[in-house]
Amino acid sequence: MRISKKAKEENRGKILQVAARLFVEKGFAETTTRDIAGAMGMAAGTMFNYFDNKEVLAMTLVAEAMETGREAYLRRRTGQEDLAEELFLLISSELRMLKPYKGFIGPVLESAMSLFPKNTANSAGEKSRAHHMELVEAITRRQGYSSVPALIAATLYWSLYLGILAFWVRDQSRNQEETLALIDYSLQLFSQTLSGNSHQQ
Amino acid sequence: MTTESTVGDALKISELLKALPSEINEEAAPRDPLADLIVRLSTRAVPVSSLARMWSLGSMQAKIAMAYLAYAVRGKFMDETERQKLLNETNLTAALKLLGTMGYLRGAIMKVGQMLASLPKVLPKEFAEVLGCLHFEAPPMHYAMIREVFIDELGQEPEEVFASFERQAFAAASLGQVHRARLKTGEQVAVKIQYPNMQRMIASDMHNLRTLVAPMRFHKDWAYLMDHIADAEEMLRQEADYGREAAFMERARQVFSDEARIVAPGCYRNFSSSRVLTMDYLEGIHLQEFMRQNPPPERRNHFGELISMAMIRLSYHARSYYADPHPGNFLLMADGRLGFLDFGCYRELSEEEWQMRNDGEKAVIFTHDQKLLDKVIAYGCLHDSTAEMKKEWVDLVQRTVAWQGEPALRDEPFDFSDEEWFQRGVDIMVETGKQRQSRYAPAYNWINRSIIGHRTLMYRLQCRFNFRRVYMENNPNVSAFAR
Repeated sequence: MRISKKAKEENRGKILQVAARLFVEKGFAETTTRDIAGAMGMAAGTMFNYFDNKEVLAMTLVAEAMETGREAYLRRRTGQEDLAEELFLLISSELRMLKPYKGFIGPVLESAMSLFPKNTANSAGEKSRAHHMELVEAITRRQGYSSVPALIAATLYWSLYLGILAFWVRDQSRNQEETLALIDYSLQLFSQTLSGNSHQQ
Repeated sequence: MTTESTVGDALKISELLKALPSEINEEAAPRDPLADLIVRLSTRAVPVSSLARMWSLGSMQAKIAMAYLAYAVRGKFMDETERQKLLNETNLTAALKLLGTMGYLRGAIMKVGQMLASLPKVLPKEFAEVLGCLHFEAPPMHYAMIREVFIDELGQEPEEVFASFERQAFAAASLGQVHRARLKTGEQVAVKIQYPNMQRMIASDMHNLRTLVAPMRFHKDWAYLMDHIADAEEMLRQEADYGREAAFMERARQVFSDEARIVAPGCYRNFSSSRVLTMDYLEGIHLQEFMRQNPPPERRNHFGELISMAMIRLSYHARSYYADPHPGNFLLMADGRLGFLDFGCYRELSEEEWQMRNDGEKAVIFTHDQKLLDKVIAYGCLHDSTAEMKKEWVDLVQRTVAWQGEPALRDEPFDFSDEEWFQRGVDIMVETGKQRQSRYAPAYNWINRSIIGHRTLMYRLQCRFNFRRVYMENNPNVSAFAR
């Protein structure tokens, strides 16, 4: 039976919702694609028409939340931020949208956004990473930082960023305030490095 | 690792001693091992503490603080065996490295170091200036950070909560910074915002501090030292709770309700949390700016009286000591009123502590009863009687109390600008520091900080007024003692 594009979009949205609920309730590892299909009243095979596997599904959820966060960043930007502040705004806006998924996000990020990506790259993760880095590059360019080669700056940034994500996932402090301090510190460090001023005054 | 071993080898007690102030100067040889260590510490990564970037550990005052710390720790085990000394030296190396990781407290330690730098002769002016800025500092927050704190604490962005909000802070506060804003109902307010993670940073610093003093753990006063650290930790923890500060501010408003010349800002609870404190904005200047304007004696005396009155009243009504009387916490207003701005750091006394404090006051100011004073001193120093204590220590405590009580003894204007009087106080404090006593009740740390802080403010204000009159008029104990 062929279904309309609209119905397909709706199904996709519903699967994401159900999966998010199950991941939060049961944990990522304990949730199977069969569980998700069951909760949808859908054959497991049908679900594979939408998502290749559980990892892709989870990463899609995460990537969409991050995308919403990046939209929030663009909206919240005042134009008065310096480099460290603007990057802080980007990351904190993303994290706020990721918050509902904090409970299961660790393994997802590990498999999809790692510094050592698997051979079979997760396309949702790759896309999300690419979009995030486009914004970072636009920010550094606009702020006039060009003394460090772009590839090096990007790699440096990405390792800091993954470190922040990994820390945030395990951060039990009130309102994850330890992460806020960590982002602040990391980005000051990054901005000092880019400006060629890594020594303390 | 090569760097590590160089640091380890370089840090011998003898070399630390060489780094003590008498031999430290700006032109010191670049290969000074202590300086090397400190420079390396400054580049060491600090986990969560973003405070690290604020402190240049290569600075002269940092060097001095480190050297003194080494000296102080070392002094505790002068008479021990060589083996024990070596062990302690290793501990000390670790301790000094640890100091480099301290976020919040490091600032205060550096300031103390700066003051110690002028030993043995600390001049009144240096003392007053250092004491004036001896508070803990948080790093500045940019607006993007403020917005996150706001969403977490009040559920909305600052510009949604307020009709207007100034993105640049207008003042630094203990643990955070202060922004000007306007409520939707029109009131001008000052919004104090705490840097994220302060509570945990304090806990981690205190943990480090305990490790730092661990080499002294076999000393007979170890338990007392631990009590002081625990007490300080509790005070700092309380200071980081803006909800508690708001409650004390409201209490202060009641205390000053019949005294129009002293203003404590009103707090807006709907726009406050344990990390954000919204209060009335007061217009005025701080002591430093006031003094730069060369104010006439009457105005200096006027504000001296008001600050004294505010502190005395608050003390009796709340049975507590305001332990942070530094210039930034008082606002001198153009119409002659005094703004009392910060209520985060006060020490409440227990029933027993308050009783002893009253007995001490009675003995020093009213009855001059030496026996009663000795009883209070013994109690304060955790002994049954002063006969159990070293004579020099009893003598020093007596001189401290006498110096502190001096302005309240004479029913005539007291000249707080008197260099000789203030120098005597500074000398007593320096001597106290050298005695390295830790066997006394921790409450006295705060009582002394309050009284010495007040005397220092008065000295800086260069004021002269009848302190005894102000003291008597605002002291509910007077009638009881007079009987």
